[in-house]
Parts: sequence; C-alpha cells; structure tokens
Amino acid sequence: MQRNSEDFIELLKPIYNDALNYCNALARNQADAKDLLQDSLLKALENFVNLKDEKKFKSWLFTILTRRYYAMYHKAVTQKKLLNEFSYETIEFPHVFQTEMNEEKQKALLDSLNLISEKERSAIVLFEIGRFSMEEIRMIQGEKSLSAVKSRITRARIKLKELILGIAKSIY
Amino acid sequence: MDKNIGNGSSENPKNKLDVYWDAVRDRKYDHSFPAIADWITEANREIKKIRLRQKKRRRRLTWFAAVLIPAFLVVSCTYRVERVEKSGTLINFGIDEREKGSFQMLSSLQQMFTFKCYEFLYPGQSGIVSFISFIPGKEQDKALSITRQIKLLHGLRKLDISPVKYNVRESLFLTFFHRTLRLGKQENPRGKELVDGIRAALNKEGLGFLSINVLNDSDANISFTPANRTPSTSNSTFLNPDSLAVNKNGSTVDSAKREINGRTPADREKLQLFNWLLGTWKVKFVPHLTYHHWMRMNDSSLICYIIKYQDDEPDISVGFSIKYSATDSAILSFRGIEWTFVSANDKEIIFKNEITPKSANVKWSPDDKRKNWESVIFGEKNMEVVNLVRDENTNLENIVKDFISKHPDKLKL
Repeated sequence: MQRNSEDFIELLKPIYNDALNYCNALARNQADAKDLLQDSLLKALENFVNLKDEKKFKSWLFTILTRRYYAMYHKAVTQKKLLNEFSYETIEFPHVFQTEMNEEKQKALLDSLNLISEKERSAIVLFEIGRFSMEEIRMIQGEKSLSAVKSRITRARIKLKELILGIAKSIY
Repeated sequence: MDKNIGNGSSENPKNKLDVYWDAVRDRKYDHSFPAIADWITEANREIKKIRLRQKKRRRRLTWFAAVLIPAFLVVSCTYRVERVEKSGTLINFGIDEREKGSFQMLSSLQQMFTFKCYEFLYPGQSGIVSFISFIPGKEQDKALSITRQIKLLHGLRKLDISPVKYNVRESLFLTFFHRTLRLGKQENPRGKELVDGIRAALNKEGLGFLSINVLNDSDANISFTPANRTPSTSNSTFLNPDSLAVNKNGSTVDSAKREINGRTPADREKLQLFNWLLGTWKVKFVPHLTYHHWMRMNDSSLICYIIKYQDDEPDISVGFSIKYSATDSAILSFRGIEWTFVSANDKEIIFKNEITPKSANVKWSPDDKRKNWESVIFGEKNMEVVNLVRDENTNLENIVKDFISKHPDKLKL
C-alpha cells in the first residue's frame, strides 16, 4: 500500500498526547524521552509502508515505542546508535518536552515510576495512559501469558501506591 | 504543594492513585504537534532519499557482483598455479648378502605389505645387495610400518628414506579446493612428472645411475614398470639404458615366450617396417645425454650408433644392427649376441635367441605415430629397457659418418 507522511501525521494526531505522555512516563528524563520519541517515530516512518491495518496504528506505534524503550535501556551505552545518523545531523527534532513539570502529583508519580522495573512501568503506563486492554498490552510487550501481564500490572500498582505514600510521608 | 497527598483525606494516595494518573494524562502537547508534523515530513523525505541511495547502491553492487563473480570464477578456473606436493617415499636400503634370513624376511614383508622392492647392485659395494622401493603418498602409514620392519632386518647396511616431490600445476580454484579445503581428489602426478620427482630423489641419494620407468596403473597406485608394458609384465624397472642388468623373476620370460609362440614369421617385405627406425632417437630417462642414430648401410643392413655425451664430448659406439638374411628373415645383433626375427605387427616387433637364456628375447614396441618406442631385452632373470623418443632437431649424420670413416673395422656385420 502506498502511504505518505500526511497519512502518518493524520493517524498520529489523535494519539499524539498519549504517545508523548507514554514516552515521558517511561523515560527517566526529558532528554531520554525526546530520544525515545524521535527514534521511535523514525522507525515507525521507515516501516509505515508495512502497516497493514490503519486501525491498529496506535498499538503498532506503542509497540515500537515499547520495543525502542527496552532497547534503549538494555543498550544504554550504545543508545545513540539506535538513532539513524541523519536524524541529528540534518533535521533538528522539535523540543516537545521542554515544559517543566510543576504539578507535584505528576512529579510524584513519575519519580515513583522510575523506581519500578521497566516491564512493570511499561505495562502500567500502557494501561493507565495508553488505555490499552490487557490483551493489547500482552501483544505490545510480546508476552505469551495474559496472566503474567495482569499480575505485572497489579504488582506495579501496589508498588506505586507504596512508593507514592512513602514520598508523601517523606515530604510531610 | 498539593496538600492532599499527606493529610489522610479522601485523596490519600492509597485510595486515590487515579488522581496521579489523571495529572499525567491531562498533560497536553498539542502546541508542539505542528513542529512534529513538519519534522515527520522532512524525515520522511530524508528516508526516501536514503532508500533511493540504498537502492542504487544495491543495484550497483548487484551489477558489480554479476560481473565480478563470473570474472573471478573464470580467472580462478583458468589461472594456473604451481605448488610442490609429496607423491610418495623412496626407501633405499642395503642388506649383507650373507644374511639369507633377512632376504626371506624381506620377501615376507613384501607379501604382507603388498609392496615391491627392486634389487640392484651398488657400484663399488660388493657383498651388499641394495634394494629400492617406492611407496605412494597415500600409503604413508604403510611406509612407516615397512621402514619399522626393515630396521629390524639383520645385516641392514643403510636405510635412506627420501620424500619424492612433484609439482602440481592446477587452477587457482582447484588449488583452493584441494589444498585449503582438503576436498576432492588430488590429481596424481603424470608419468613424466613422477619420473622427474623420483629422478631428483635418486640423484640426491647418489643413485643417478639407475633409470626409471613408471606406470600409473588404474588404481592410481604408482608402480615401477617398463613404460608401455602391461602390469603383468612389469616386475623390474631400474635399468641402465645400455648395460645395467637387474635380477627379476621369470614371469616376464614366460609371458613373452607365450607371446612369441603365437606369432607367424614375417617375410622380407614385412621387414620394410624397420625403415621407421632410420634417423635420430633420443634416449629417455638416462643421466647423460644419449642418442641412437640408425643408418642404412646397404640394401640389407641397418646399424644403430649410440652417441653418448659426457663432458660435451660425444662417445660413439655401435649398438643394434639388423641384417636381412637370405632366408627371408632378419638377424639382430648387439654385443655379439644375435636374435632372429620372429614376428611383427603395428605394435610390436619380436626377435628371439636360443643360445643366451639371459637375453633370449628382444621386443620393440613403437607407438602409433612412431615417435616413441621402447626396446626391451629380456630373458632368464634379466631385463633391459631403453625408451627412445624421435629427435628431429639434432643432426648426428656428420658425427656418425666421421666415426664410420675412422673405425671401419667396427662395422663388420
């Protein structure tokens, strides 16, 4: 199927905020979130012609985001190499995450997310921000068992509660 | 600071985690979308350019491979390289002639390991019987076992083991296949190459006086046999072209006799086939440059002059002579021995002698084009082989005529 960048932009527009919030929640800082988004968008653009069903664009893009996120943190040393060489050199990526987080709730949650494992973080963020079903999360995370995803989300939720409570106690 | 976090109210994080998620979810980035859209358009353009470049590069590479690989294959299949390979081992040893038990042991060893030792007398070493044997390269384990057993023989005087090497000339591709990958069947050395290799090894051992005839039989085993002879008549090999005699068993004599008995005498007209002998022949496989020059002396006789070059000086002697007899046959003479013509066909000419059993038969075997021939004198425990090749570039006429004028006494037939 012949697709162009306009189609990609059209499909991205409705899920743009979710995608950025997802990156923001996954990454440890804004620079990493920007790298993750840029790298994933390039990967998505490169493979856009291979997308069979446009209705699945959201889960397809979040799958790419999740895989790139794993790759970035598993190969932290070589993470820059994940980005195509031209991306930095010729086209400057917009500063999408430059706004500071003022709200304490946002900050407390994101700090807590940084303290749980990558898969748990990815699963809970997909569920809460991406609003994906358990089955979709299983697919995105490449898991065989649905119960593994369920227990991962439950575990993440418990941990987050404890962490946020701890942060709150430490503040007050 | 949000005071609800730590005050135990209904927004306690234990019960109301959703408010935290809502805070994150509510974060909007719409203002940056136009910039991202522009970036996507640019990046997509860049990706297309890169794809096009990659496509062109792949196409160039395909063309390059399509041209280069066949060219490389052609070159590697046609370009020939030379390398040295071991074709076998030459085992040379001597045994005190008084040690009869060792000879019996050697005979048993030959049967056990199915190899042949060729007996010869080393000049100036009386009382020692020398033996030589060639073990092909593929039977090196056997060679090791044989030498181990030979070392145990009583009266062993010396034991020299020399590798026989030969030059392999084959394509680069086959060299890679045979040498690097150790795959496929290595081309065996051809007769002359093997002879050259053995000749070099013999010279190194000081055995240059021996002459060699080699035949690669159908099993690719290398055996020493007189050239152009069948394996059934090929038991002895090392012979001086002129005089060196080598002991051998009587099987060749018997088989030759059977061949002779099966033929019919030829008449005088058939003897015209000796005309092909006229002219110069070069003797193969000899240490010194040697020629045989055949001349018609008169209507009824042909003489062969042997011209041997040592230190650039020709040494001329009379070799074979053929005399047409009145009884419609021909007499062959050499070293005072006479043979009577028995039979002739396209491949063989046979003479026979009833007086000297050791040299009872003469067999000449020319090739189809009469460019090479082999002379064999054989009899009871004796065989002498000379291989000759036509030499049209050497003019010996004047040397021979000069010899004839100076030594008329040597030409009495």
